[in-house]
Formats: sequence, C-alpha cells, structure tokens
Amino acid sequence: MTMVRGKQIISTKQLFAILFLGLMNHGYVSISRWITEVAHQDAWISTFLGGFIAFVLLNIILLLMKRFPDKTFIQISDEVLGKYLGKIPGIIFLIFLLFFTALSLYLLVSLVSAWLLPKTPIDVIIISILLLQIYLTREGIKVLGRFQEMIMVIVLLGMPITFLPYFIYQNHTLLMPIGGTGVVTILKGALPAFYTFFTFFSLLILYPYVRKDASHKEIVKASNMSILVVTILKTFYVFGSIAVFGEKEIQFFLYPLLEYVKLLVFPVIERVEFMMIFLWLFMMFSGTVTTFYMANLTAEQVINVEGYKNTGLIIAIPIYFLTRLSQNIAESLSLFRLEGAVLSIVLLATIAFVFGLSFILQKGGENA
Amino acid sequence: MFKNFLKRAKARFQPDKGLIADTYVVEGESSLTHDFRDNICRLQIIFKDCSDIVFREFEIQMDKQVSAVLIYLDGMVDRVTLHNHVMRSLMGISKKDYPQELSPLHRLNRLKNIDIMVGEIKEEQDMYTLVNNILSGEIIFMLDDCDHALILNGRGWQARAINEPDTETVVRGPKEGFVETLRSNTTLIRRKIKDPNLKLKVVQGGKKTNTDIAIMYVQGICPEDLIEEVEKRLKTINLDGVFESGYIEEFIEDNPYSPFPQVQITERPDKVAGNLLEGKIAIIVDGTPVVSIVPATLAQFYQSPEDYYERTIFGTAVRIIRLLSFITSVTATSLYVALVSFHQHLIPGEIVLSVAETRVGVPFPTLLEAVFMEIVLELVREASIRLPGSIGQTIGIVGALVIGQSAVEAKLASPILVIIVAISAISSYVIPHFSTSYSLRFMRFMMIGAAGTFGAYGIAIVWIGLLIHLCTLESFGQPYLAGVAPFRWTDLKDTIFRVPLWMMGTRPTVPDMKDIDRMLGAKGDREDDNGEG
Repeated sequence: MTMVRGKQIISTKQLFAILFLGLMNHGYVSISRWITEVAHQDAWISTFLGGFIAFVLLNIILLLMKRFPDKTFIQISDEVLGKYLGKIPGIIFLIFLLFFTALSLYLLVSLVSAWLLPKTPIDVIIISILLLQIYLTREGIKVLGRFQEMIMVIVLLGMPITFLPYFIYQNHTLLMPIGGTGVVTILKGALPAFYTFFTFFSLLILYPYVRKDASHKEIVKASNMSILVVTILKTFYVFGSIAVFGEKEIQFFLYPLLEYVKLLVFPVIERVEFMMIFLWLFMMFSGTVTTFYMANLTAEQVINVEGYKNTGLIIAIPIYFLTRLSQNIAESLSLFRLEGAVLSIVLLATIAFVFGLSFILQKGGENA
Repeated sequence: MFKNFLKRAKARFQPDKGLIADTYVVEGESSLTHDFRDNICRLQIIFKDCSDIVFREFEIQMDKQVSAVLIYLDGMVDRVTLHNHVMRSLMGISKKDYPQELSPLHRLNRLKNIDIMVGEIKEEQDMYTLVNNILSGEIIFMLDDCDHALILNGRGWQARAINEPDTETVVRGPKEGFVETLRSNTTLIRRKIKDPNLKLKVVQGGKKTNTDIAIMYVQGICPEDLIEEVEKRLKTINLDGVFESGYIEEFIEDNPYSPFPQVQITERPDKVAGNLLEGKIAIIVDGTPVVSIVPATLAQFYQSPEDYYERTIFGTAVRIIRLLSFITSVTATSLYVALVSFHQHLIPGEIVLSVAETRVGVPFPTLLEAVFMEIVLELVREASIRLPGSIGQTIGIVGALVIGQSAVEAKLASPILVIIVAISAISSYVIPHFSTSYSLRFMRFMMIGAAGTFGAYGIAIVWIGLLIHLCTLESFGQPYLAGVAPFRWTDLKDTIFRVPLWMMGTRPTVPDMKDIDRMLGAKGDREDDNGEG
C-alpha cells in the first residue's frame, strides 16, 4: 500500500531532544578527564565557560538563520555564492560532520569494546551501529525527531542515578582553591569544553525543518533551553567527579563518569555502571546518529539529491574509514583536539563569510 | 511470444468486472425488458445449476389476471416475511381493488405503494443489481409486461447468537460481542452511539464474493481526509474473495511487512464505539465478527475497555504493568542469555552460584538452550490454540509440567531458564490484543539471537532497531507512537496513564480532528443546535 507520508517537519520538542542528546553525547563519559587535564580543579568553571561560548555562538547562528527561514546553510551558501562556488562551504561543513561523526562513533565503539565486548573485532561493532544509522536516515528527519524524543525519555529516567555519588561521597576540599589555577588556565580549559558542544552547529541544517511548524521565538527558546540544561549537567558531572575523586585521580580513569557511578552499590544490582552503560548506549547512539544524519542531509543538498534514500550508505563508507583512523582512545583524544581546533576555526570562518556576504549582497531577510 | 503479449494485454483491458456466469449481464448495461418470459429465462440461465434459487411463479387478480414471479435464495430469506407479508399481501389482492385498467408500470407502483407490506422496497431495472440482490438475500418481484422489478427486503438467515468474545473477555463491562452478520454488528454500534452523525457507508469487496464492507465514523469528529483515504484504499482491493477483515488489512496497511499490526481489531462493540468517539473509523466486513479500527497507535494495543470501567488508579496501574510486560516479554530470556554467556560478573554473588549449579550437566550453550525452550513453548502454544478447549488445556499441562520438568531432569535445560521462559510467555499474554503477542514472540527470537551473539550490546542494538522501526511506522498517515513520539502532554492522559474521565476534556490528537473537545460539545451536538434554534 502506498504510504501517506506527512511533511518532513520536526517540532520544537524534537529539536530540544536532538540538541540535548547530541550535546550530551560528545564527551559525556570522559569530559572530566579531558578538561581536568588542562584546567585541573577548576575544570568545572572551564566546562561552564565552554557551554557559555557555545550558547553565544548558537544565538548568533539563530539570528543569522532567521534571515533565511526556509533554507539550510547549504542552500543559503548556494543562494549567496552561486551554483558552483556555493558548494564549497557545504563541502567544508560535510568534512566537519564526517570527522565529527567518526569521532563520536569511535568514542561509542571504544566504550562498548572496553566494557561489553572485549573480544569482538571493533569493525563488527562499527558496522552494526552504522547499519542502524543508515536505516534511520533512510526514513527522513521526521523519524529522527521521533526517535530522539523516545530516547530522551529513556535517558532522563536513568539520569537521577548519576547524581547520587556526588551527594554520598563529595569532598569539597578537592575543589579548592576555586579559581586557583588562574584565569588563563581556566580559559584554556574552556576550549576543549567548547568542542564537546559542537552539535549546536546542526541548527544550520535543522532550522528550516523546525521553522515550518514553529516561530523563531519558539526555536530560540528550545535551543537555548537545551544548551543551558546540558551546560549545567556537564558542569555538574565535572564538578561532581572532582569533588568525589580529585583532579589527580581522575587522570587515571579512561571513563571518569563510569568510575563515578561505579561507587554506587544497590542490593542485587552490584554493578550499577553496567546498567548505566546500557542506558548510555541509547544516548550515545542518538548523539552520533544526529551528526550522521546531518552529514547525510548535507551531502544530499550539496549534490542536489535531497530525498534519495541511499545516501546514508555512501556516507557510511568514509565514516567507517575515519573511525578506523584512531587506534586507541588516547589517539582519538588528540584527534578530537586537532579536529576541534582546525575545523572549528575553518567552519566558523566559513559561516561568517557566507552570512557576511549575504548582508553585503542584501540577500535573505526582507529582501528574500 | 507477441501473440501471448497481445492476449495478456487484451485480458488486462477486458472489463471482466460485471460479467456474470459467462452471460452478457454487465453492470449498468443489461436491463430488464417488457418480455416477462425472456426476463425469467435470462435469470434462469444465470442461476443454472443453483438449486437453492427459487422461482415462484403465480397469478395476481388485478384489473386483469397478471403473471408474476418471486425470486429468492432459499436459506437467506426470512420465511415469515416471505409467507405472511409478501405472499399473503400479493395473493390477497382481488379484482375489485383494481376497478380501472392500469399500465404495467402503474400496477407495479401500486403494489409497491399500497399492497405489499414490507418495510423496505426498491425499484430496479438493472439485471446485474438484481442478481446481486438475490445473492444477498433479497426477494425479487417481477410482473408481466413490466421492465422494472421490485427488490423486497426479506433478508433473514440463521445467525450465531450474540455472546461475549472469547479473546477479549472482561470482568466488568458489557458481555456482548460482534457476530458474523453485518447488520447485527452495525446495530450493536448504533445502540451505543445514538447520534445521527454516526455515518455508515457500504462498499463491495471481492470480485466473486461481493462482500459488503461497511465504514462507520462520526461526522464532525472524524477528519474528512481520513474518510477519503480509507475509501480510496478500500477501492484498491482487487481480490476475488474477501472472507475476513484480515483480507483487507494487508491491502490498507501502510507497512504490511512490519511485524507490528497497524490496524486495530476487536470483537467488542464498546471498544469500537469508544474509538469512533475519538475520531477513528471502523471497518466492518460481512461474515466476520472481527471489526477493524483505523488509524491505530501502539498504545491502543495495550488498552482494554475495562481500563475505563475500573477506578482510575487501577486503570493506570494495569497499563503500567502491561508496558512492563511488553519489555519483559521481549527481553527476559535474552537478558538471561546475555548474562550467562557474556556478563557473568554482573550476576550477584549468591545468584551466580545457583545459576552455575543448575547449568551443570547441560550440554548446550545458553543460546541453544534458550532457543530450544522457546521453540518447545511455541509448539505447545500453537497446539493448545488449535485444539478444543479441554484437550487444549491438557496439552498446556503436558507442556508446562511434563516437558518442562522432563527437560530439566534430562539436563536439556536449566530450571532457571524454564522459569524465565515461562515469565516471558505469560508476559506476552498480558497484552489485551492477541495479534500483538505475535509481534512480541517474533521480536523475542531476534533478541535472543542478538544476546547470544553480542551480549547486552546485542540487546541494546535490537532495541534501538526496534525503536527506529516503531518511529518509522504510520497508520493511515498518523504516527504509530503518537503521544510519546511525537510527544504530546495532552495525549499522556490516555496512553501510559488513565486519568479520571472528568479530566479527559479533550480527545487524543491522533487523528488530527477539528472537534477536539470531548465535554463541551461543538459542531453537530444536537443539544447545542436546539439551544441556538
């Protein structure tokens, strides 16, 4: 029977879920280690600052997207730069997304490999996740939105458990002296923290799909709410981990959040961290599938084949090889920093260039 | 080859619909003539070798002696109506009632309007329609020298009494269920919703069976585009026979390859009535007690009419139990397989020893052991369903006690696994909708396979795949997970929870209807109309 397909629209609640899970996913289990390495006991301040930078940039992006309510960044650059030159920003964005997805995927796969399937070849795990991502992307943005909403409910149900170790084992002296590392160190730490918020760039693609059903104000509200909630949560996790372990001990852990949850012991459920890994698998998959979908949609729009169902299959190939680039988690961490530094500069410059030109050429907004 | 192609092409464009029994009776093209004998002869050719078709010829004393015939299908006509109302009124006519000479058509009209004492009479000229009406149990009356016939409603046949449906029993609530007769079923619904806005449209399905398929909906609540969509999809059914609602389901479902049903079925009139008031459409097929309701959402399959008859707190509790049973049914066995095969360190110290002890001597890996037990369970289940009640119960006991216990003693399975398989089997039957338990059983095998291969990770990826699949599903363009994804606070009141009825001020948001207000009444409310008038 022919399917009666609704429009490809996502609601503001779905936007919140997509951003929330995407922002949470990146560095969720390791963020304490990444930031304390640079900012020591003040890592939580750096995390908050990183979130704040992302918050500011997100609002700038929203302001810019307001001028083109029915277009994605790729379509905007097509309009501003022309048919051929307009593809370049799209390709840069695509490369960024491919790297970013591969890195997120590697973090997920390495966690599964280390904790659940140590003897299984890593390729099998990568391929199994990629196949699920391809399946989801085939069905369009509407299904992505619904899926993320479902997962958010599951994640939120398990989240209160992660607050418990702090309330039981906290030792605030481990956080002292607050600000003792100095402003420069804190600001240095804010950079890797900011990199963990990269998913906010997906608004460059998502905006027109939400705008069909909601006002700009509602989108701003949902996006800001998601980034604020995630900033608070991530800051809490870093704060809590330092308060429980201390910044030096955290450096010994590959996944500090797991060690932090491991402190809990319930009757019958002795290994709480495994239960949490099971829940986090859903969250981490959702985070990676968002960037995978963005890469898929960007590729489709760059080559003008939007709606083609098998683009995910093509996108999965480079992502697979990029995922295999990292040999271990330490390497992936260096890659993460490199990618964060290079791509964020290039991408931000590209976005600034495209929107700057649109202002100069008086495209978009009232003139659109 | 070219000849064959031409033959196929010709057959493709041949208007086969409407041809009856190789005669030239085509829908809309063959009419009765003034030749009474010729009309009877044509019908006799059509019904050649149909000994249950009765041609009762007789004379009526009107302005002159006129030949007439009654044609009906024996067994499908109510004999009381035929004898006491039709025959008696026709044969009781005397010449003094017809003092003036009349034309044949005037005679027929007078009989229709004055003499024949039957509730529903239609005049018809098309031969194809007449044939179909005979087969549907109507009485056809033809008069000499007249090119029109009368269709007298005399339907009546042996039907099953209205009983409580076996598959949807309730402790509290109406004990009536649908039967195999379309009219009885529509009446059962009408009795629940006494509103002129309850509309009923009938279409025919099956080229040979000409089965009546009724569409019922409440105008003003049900969205117009949904009604159009249902009608459009029903017209695509190109089968020779429709015997059960399952025949049409596969044609009208959005995704027939999914293990999850996208059409809700029920044998309970109260359930249909409740759904009609929520803007849904009921599709009733003649000859089956199973009524289909569209569009369907997953949450509906976990609801029972009893949820609304019992106190709200218990209604909600039962729904949460059903939700948990859905998870248990799909995951319990696979979780055991994953824990024993991959993550033994997650089993608490005291339990791990007893699990290890029970597995001593079992030669199979846990995966095979679990699959073996599940297959045995499926065999017992299938056997007990197909057998008569008492034997079915015996098989159940044999399966549960003898095979279960023997398998443990023979060291083919561990006792803990037997318990877990039993729990997951019971969980799958907590769900009120029987077809959904098929989906769960199907999913369970997938889950066990994944758990035996990838442990807990396998369970997670199958669940993720399952959730993605559920998110892709739609029923008549409406999201299958409506209420949860897309998430709507207002729909939660009657999905996972069952809030008090006085708090259900609005209807569910799926399907997308105009008249959302359940309590104040709006369009089509007769009291409001009276008030305004």
